[in-house]
Amino acid sequence: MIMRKKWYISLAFVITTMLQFNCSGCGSDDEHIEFKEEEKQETNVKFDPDAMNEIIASFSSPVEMAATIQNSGVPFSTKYLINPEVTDNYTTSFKKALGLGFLSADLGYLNVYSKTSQILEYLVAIRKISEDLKVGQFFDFALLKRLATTAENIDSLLIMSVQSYQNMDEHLRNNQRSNLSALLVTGVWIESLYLITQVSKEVDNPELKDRIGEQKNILKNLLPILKLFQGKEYEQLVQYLEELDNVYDFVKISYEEGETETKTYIDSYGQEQTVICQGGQSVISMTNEELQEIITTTEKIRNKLIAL
Amino acid sequence: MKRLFIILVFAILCFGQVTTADAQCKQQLVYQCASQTEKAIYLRDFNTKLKREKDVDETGMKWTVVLNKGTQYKFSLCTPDGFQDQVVLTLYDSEHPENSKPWGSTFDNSTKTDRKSFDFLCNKTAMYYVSIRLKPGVGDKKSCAVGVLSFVGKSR
Repeated sequence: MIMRKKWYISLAFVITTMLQFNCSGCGSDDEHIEFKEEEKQETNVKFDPDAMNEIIASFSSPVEMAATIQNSGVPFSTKYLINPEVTDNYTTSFKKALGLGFLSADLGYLNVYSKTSQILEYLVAIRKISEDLKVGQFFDFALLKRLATTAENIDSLLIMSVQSYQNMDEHLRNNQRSNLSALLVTGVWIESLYLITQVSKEVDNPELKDRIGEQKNILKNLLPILKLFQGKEYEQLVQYLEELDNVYDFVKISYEEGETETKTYIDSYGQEQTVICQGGQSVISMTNEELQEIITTTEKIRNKLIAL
Repeated sequence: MKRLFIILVFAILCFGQVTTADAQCKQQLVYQCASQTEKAIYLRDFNTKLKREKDVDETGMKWTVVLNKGTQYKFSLCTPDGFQDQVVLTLYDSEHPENSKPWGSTFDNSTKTDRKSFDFLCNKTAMYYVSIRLKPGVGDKKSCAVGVLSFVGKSR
């Protein structure tokens, strides 16, 4: 009888332990880590957190702008990129999250151009910041380093890098740290805009010009989210972006209706592929002077934020 | 005592299966799906668990994504073996609803056939939705699915 009782106790203990492990697996890995107040912020007005997270999550991948630049035939240049050592001096979570965004966009640019030899120092800087922000568990430095040193694995490196970024961002949003997630996407957005505006200074390309003009709508979505968070650093950031928003006021975006078409073609593997060509189009109206003003303001803001 | 031991082993096995089946797709499937997009640059993925408890249940998930004018994107859908014809990835927005006239889908309603992927040539920079769901009437078993968004190129 006593023996049986012992077995029941053992069984209960094992199941309880398993439940505990399972719950920590369903949720976050660091649910019990205490965050400083500055890292975990309540918003200053009522705003549906799901709606806010939906908007933050919609922002483009850290490689899309770089892919657009590369696709337009513009050669690679390191002169656009930030020195990753700059981020060593970032002390607050605000600066680190923004810096992580800057570095992620630059890493995307290096990845798209397959510049594996320069990637390592960015990986080192990202590892440090991600650990400081308690999202280091989503950044597999050893694997990324190994992929970076093997040139033939460049596609894997790009996929793993973007997934690391995606997982860090998602983790922040799911753990009441949407303020840091918003800063992360803002950092990616500013650095990506900086890259494309710098390139367009040297190359007259209507596609790049259109892409710069369209950022007016992205900024319109980003600003209200950043205004939700309190603190001097957020106020400063909003002030900078409002300056850019004022410059973007000159850009006009209109829409023309049209019929959507579906086409098919046979790819190199003999498989039928479908292409849906969206009907209508958005038309961006912006003079060269207005473009120049966007370029200048973006450069000024980006450099100020890096030096914060 | 022997019977208790069997119960214990059974409990561990059952518990392991539940936690695995209830999860999103494993990293290996995500990576495989992302690597399949020939000449396209991987941008992001959409990973969800799938299970329909009742016929009326809405399964899967939706995500928001900003797509840019003049860019050709590829949307690919991957599922574990045996679920290929049970899941649909749909691209839509507020003016082109998911269930009536979406922009694109991996299920061709006119021919009633499934495709693994489709390209979308975007002509309007805006916020769109991507959903991954089980088809009506299927989904008694737990599964998962991964959608991958890739950059094919700029339209010329």
